[in-house]
Amino acid sequence: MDPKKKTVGFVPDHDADTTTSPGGSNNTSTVNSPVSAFSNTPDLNNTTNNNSTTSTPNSAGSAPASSQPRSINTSGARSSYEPMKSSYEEQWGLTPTRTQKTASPRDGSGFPAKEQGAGSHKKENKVKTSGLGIQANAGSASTDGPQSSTSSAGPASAGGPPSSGKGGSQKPSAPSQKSMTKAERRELQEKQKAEKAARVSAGLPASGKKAAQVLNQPNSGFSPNPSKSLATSFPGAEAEKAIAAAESTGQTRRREKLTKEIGLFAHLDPPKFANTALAPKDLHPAVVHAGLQMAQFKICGANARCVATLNAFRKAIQDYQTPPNTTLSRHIQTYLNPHISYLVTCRPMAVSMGNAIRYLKYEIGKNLELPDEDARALFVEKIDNFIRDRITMADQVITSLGLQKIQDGDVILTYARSSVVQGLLLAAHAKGIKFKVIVVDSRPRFEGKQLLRALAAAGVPCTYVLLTAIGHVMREVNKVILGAHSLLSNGALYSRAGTAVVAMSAHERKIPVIVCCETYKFSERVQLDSFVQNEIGNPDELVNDQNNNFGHSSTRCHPSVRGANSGDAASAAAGAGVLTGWRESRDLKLLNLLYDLTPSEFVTVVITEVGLIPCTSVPVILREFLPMMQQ
Amino acid sequence: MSKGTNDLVDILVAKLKRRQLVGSSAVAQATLKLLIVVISKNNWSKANDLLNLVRSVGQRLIEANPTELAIGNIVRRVLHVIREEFRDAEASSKSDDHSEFQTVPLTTSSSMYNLLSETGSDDKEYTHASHNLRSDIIQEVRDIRIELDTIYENIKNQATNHIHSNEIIMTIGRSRTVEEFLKMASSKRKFHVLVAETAPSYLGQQMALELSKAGIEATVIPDSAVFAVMSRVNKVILGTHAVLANGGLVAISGTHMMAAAAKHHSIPVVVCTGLYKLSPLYPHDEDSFNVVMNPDAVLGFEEGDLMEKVTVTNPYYDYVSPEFVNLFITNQGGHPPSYLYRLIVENYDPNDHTFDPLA
Repeated sequence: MDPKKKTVGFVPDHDADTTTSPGGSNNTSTVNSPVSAFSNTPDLNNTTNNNSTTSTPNSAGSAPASSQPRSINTSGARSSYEPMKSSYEEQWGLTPTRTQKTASPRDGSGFPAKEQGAGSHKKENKVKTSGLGIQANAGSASTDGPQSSTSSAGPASAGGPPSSGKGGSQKPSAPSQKSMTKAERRELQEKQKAEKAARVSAGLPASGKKAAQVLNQPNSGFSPNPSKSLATSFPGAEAEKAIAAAESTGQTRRREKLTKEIGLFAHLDPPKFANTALAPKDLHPAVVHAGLQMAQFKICGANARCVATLNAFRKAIQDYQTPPNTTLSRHIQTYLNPHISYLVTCRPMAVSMGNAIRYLKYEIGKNLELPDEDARALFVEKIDNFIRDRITMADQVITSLGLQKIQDGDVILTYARSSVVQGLLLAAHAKGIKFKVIVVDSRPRFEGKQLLRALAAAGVPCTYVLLTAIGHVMREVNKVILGAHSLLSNGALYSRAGTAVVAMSAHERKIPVIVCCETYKFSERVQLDSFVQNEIGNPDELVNDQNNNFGHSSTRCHPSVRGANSGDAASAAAGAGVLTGWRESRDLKLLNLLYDLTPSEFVTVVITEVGLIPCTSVPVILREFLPMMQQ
Repeated sequence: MSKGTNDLVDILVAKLKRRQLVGSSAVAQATLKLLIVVISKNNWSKANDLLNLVRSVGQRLIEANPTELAIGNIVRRVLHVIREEFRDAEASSKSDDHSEFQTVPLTTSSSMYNLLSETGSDDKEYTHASHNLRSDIIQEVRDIRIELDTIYENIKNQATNHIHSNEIIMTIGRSRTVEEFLKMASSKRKFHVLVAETAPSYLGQQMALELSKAGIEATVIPDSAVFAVMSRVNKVILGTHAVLANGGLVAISGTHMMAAAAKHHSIPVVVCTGLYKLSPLYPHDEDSFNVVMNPDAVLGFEEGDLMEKVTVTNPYYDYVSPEFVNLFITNQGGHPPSYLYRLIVENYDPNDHTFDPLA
């Protein structure tokens, strides 16, 4: 209990110091209200944390235990990694495990060296107390202290952040901590309570030193982590935790199971979960934020991800401060690189993002001699121009070209949701064309629903079916319009899984398949099947239990579907979560493939901002952008 | 019809209408059971009486649930048996009169020998009554029942002929036939099954669960990934709700998509089915054998605002045209779709394709 209280106690101090969060505005989109602010700040804290460590020498004077915190801090970062991940899992509705996980770092799952971890934890406790003292002394200067035992580093370097903050990205981050408010504190407390309850139920020491330690640990790991707050923001989280605790299996095992390997896809990365803790230091909060949102699929879709990335980089460049003895344009690339790799750790890079980043690098490389402020202005402008020219304007041109292909009486089928297709259909409706749309959707993300909502709200007559019914609805369709994640050089369309089935069904019935794709999504990559390059989503999304229904009742299994056959009654009743126990079954695996490859013969035409082209012309268009791509 | 049997018919009709009894197998069993009672418990002296009796019962059952084609199939099988029995009886009585001559061609109209001869099997022929006909017919119908009971056995025994080791097999939905087939194969071979989850009924998930319990490596994939992983699949093994006369399938929705993807990748599509699912009807309209289910499974009723504005369709079956199917594995062995007409001629009488009462 004590340590807990301590941490809690810390928070206010800390809050007082940190008032405004630059990233706070973005947060709202990530999570529900109070949490959101919280969620972001932790990232920032993290970054500051890191900074502070780097800058410990500066702050050494203020901290008697300066050396200690340092070592702790590194380990702390790791430990915080664990909970982070766990919380993501929770957030996916996967593993209830928050509490487990907190315990699990002990198991050495994520730790290279067990002893170190454990040792550091003990230290943490000590340090905390000391930290408290420090903080009391340090007063307003304490920044990171509250956040974690690791944060003991914070108090140690308490004086540090401000000084080091001048360095660059920290600047915005430092104030952000202030946004940890009472509400957050309360939340923390609640969480801790819940945790403890879970712990007790799990048979862990509920009270006494041990328990305190155990409990303390999570705090240390958690408070700095946005993930935790995110996790708790999900309604079922608390309950999940309790369940998880009850299960109390080792986290290592869980992790292994999470990534149950499927032979054919063994070469693909297992689903990723953002972990800011593992991220390199000095990340700009905007990038961290964008990465988190992508990892959670809050930002989803090639265009949205690209724009989010570019906007984040724009902020990063704006806030960037050139270190001594170098120039902005010469150093900015080395500054951006860790950001880029961080984004990749959040979720495999979209082709669109890759192209945009390549363009940015190309522009940077071209202007190495510019004075700092000019370069900054130029890069920011280039980013804006890229978004404007290659995405926004491109979409407008595609829409106007696409409008020529939609006539009165058309029945248009589309799959899932593409921002371009949605824009096109809405524009066609606004233009007064009378047509009908069939939205085909599929598990597990039900992205088409968003499109359906938009179209229905605009008054477009819509039909909504799942992918299995494609054979049933296809016969009344006379055009298929699809979005694209990327168009590959061999003319293949790389897009949301299921697109190939839709295109194939249309092709089979000789229905034209129109793909809307901006040229910046073209890729020089070639691919012959959906195996060599793909992305594996969270397998637990396929489990249709209550935590994972995306607000959709269809994920319930309907006894009615099967009929009231006596034999099936049992199975139907159990149907609520047929796959719930899949991790426990040796032979049962889930594969959640996110993309598939549509062969070029299924695609009739591609609408791009440079005109209507066959998809085999991709390499021709790519040649035009060759200098950029060579970078 | 006696009152007792009439009541029994009513009960079955009610069950079918209320969808309390669904699934080809269950329906076929129930129909056959009922027909045995109808034949044994009612008075009939002439063949036409019996045929009309069975037809009228069949008609009622079919109207109760027209999408369960197995009902009609079983009734036709029984009618066919009745005709055969009468023909045999007639032949034997004739052969008493004449010499041994006439016996050969009368046995069946399904032999090549009498393709060109006149189809003399007019219904009016079967007017004779025979003392032990009833028991003969019931015996024959019981044989059908035994056939129904041993269908899974017969089909699954062929499994090892079709599955080699380390194969990757794809399937969709949950079919008991396929399940037994794969389980049988797994006792001798090691292979991997990919199961499309088959939203919105999610029967595929159940299938995968069952297979994994039997020790078969089963991977659930969302329906959207069917095309993506098809290129590595060795065989697609499907169950079906019914097989139509042209070799087309009425199978759970999503089957068409899977079969078409298999066709694109030149992956063989194997359909495991009992012969009782083989219907002599042709699909004049793809929708004619389909059912549309509750849309709640597709778009939840809790999203009422949205639901008001859009059409939501949830078809339960797909029609899969015969060119997508490479092989049917029935309880009588493996057949290409082109051979199905033969099986139909052997099992059903052309006069029974519709159930209009006889003159």
